[in-house]
Amino acid sequence: MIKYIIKRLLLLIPVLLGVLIIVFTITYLTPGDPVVSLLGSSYTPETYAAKAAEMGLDKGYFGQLGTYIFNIFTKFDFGKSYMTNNPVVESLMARAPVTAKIAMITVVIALCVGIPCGIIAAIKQYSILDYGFTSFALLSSAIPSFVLAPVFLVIFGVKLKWLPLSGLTSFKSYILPILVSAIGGFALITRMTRNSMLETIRQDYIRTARAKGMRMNAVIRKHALKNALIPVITVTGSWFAMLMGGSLIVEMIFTIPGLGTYLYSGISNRDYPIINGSVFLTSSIVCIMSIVVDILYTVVDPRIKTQFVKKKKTKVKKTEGENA
Amino acid sequence: MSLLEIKNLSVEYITRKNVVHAVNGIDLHVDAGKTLGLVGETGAGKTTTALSILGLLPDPPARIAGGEIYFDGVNLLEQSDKEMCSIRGNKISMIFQDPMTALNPVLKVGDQIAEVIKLHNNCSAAEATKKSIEMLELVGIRPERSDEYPHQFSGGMKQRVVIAMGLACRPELLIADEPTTALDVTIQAQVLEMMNDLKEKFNTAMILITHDLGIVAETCDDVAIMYAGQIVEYGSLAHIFDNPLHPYTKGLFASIPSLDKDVDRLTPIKGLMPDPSNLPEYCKFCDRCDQACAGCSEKEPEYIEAEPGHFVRCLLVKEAM
Repeated sequence: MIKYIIKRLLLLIPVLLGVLIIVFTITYLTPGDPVVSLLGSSYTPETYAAKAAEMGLDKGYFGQLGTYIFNIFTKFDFGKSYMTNNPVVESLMARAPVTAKIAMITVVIALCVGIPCGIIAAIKQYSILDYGFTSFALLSSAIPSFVLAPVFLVIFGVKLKWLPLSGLTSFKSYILPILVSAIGGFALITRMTRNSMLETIRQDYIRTARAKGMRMNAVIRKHALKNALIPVITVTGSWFAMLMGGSLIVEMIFTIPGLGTYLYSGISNRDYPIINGSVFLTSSIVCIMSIVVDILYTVVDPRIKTQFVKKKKTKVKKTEGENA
Repeated sequence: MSLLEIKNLSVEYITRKNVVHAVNGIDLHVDAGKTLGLVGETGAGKTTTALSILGLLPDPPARIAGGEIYFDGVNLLEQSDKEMCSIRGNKISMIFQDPMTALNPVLKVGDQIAEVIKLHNNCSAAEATKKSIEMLELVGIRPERSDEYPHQFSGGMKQRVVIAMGLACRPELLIADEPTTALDVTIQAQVLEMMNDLKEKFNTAMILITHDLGIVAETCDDVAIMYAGQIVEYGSLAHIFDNPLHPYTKGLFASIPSLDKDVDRLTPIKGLMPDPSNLPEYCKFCDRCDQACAGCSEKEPEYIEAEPGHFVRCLLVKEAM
């Protein structure tokens, strides 16, 4: 198992290298000149050339790409922001915890509420509870966050004055952004849990468990849940990776100094190192999450584990054969 | 008194469009330690009968329209879910048709057997595990395999696990729903032999649901032939095999190839079973029967005792008496 994880982590290197090259190429090919946008309208050819040389933009495509990747691999240096001159890595490190905190709390809340609601909706299919949960889930997945966030701000921030409007000052500031992102995730997780639970409780082994004399609740807990959670893990994994990349809209509306607003500032200022660094971080998170999801699969479903540790198993058989 | 007595049981499946009459007023009884073969083609209502004994009919759409099921003198249909849970797996257990899907893929087989033991015996987890391993050995599976998962077992092995699970609490009645249909012929024989041995060892009564008359001949004491949700013929093994009375039973025997004669074609029963949502008012088999006369399509034939212990539902037999 550990061997498998190491193998997957090593495979990350070529993938992320590819990401670096692609992102760099896209920003390189993007029309617009960062030097011009930095210097404004008043510049002479000499100041332009000097600034370009300072930013390392005087070299050709391969020259720039080479330096960029070289610096990353030798010094873990993703360059400096054109605007503020702060190293990108430092800014990312400062902002990542904010986004990570919001993402984790959001996911935990959405899971804690969504999974039970999905299970209840599935067991009591076509009941009032089922209709209630599913229609709420449908409604909340139909409302985009850029509508929900301002509405919440108006209600809880402006009218009721319960919660702050923007920034991160106290724990209260986290409530609205988390709520807005969690509602979308709740919808996703409830629907997913309900569907896969409905499929699971119609399986033969559930009937076998009932025939053993187990109460329905125990059957759900011991037999159905593990099987039903597999698709839920998949969607939660990719959703979490998305949140970790910084929910751009939510962070913008609530002015949270997270990865989303950072990326946005990079894009609007043509601050290429920021864009490249942010996209690289997000794609690393996506890749790592997919490994985490695969590992979680093996915890839940032994069939998947056998696929991964096949090599080890044949070895065991061999030694058995030798002994015999 | 019989261990299990089913009186006039009727089960329907209610769908949006129509009502499917799966079981229509059947009477059955199984004595302690005896084996009853429940024979019939697909859709005759065999599995529905079995599931209603255990109270595991999918509800909705299934509904018990009438009748009583007495087990040890108690009407199972009047028991609460809690009381049924203490009977299921303990006094009555069931072996399902398809071993491939009957086991939970994410739990170890040993744990799945230990679960039923722990549920009905007041014992510790360690004792349950120990007993589950004994059960595995009893069905011929090496004890070290109890830590493996169902996907690591072959079909025949899985069915052994299911049987071990069914017998783990020494039930008084075992319902085996086509236990060998999903297995190949060599494994079939092994599994049947093992089930017979264990049944005798524990003195368990059994309802064997099958459409294979060969299996019936080998294992059963009594036989009930089911057709379109009714028992059309019921009797001891000798009654049914030596002196079949109902044309359907005769048809079943005629469609088995004989070892003595060289025949090119089998004689199947022509036609199909009537649509269970639209059953005729008269004899259900009439439309497929070679010997049907005018009276057959007029009213439902009575269920009569043709000879002591040999019941049949056919007008012709009644008239011949």
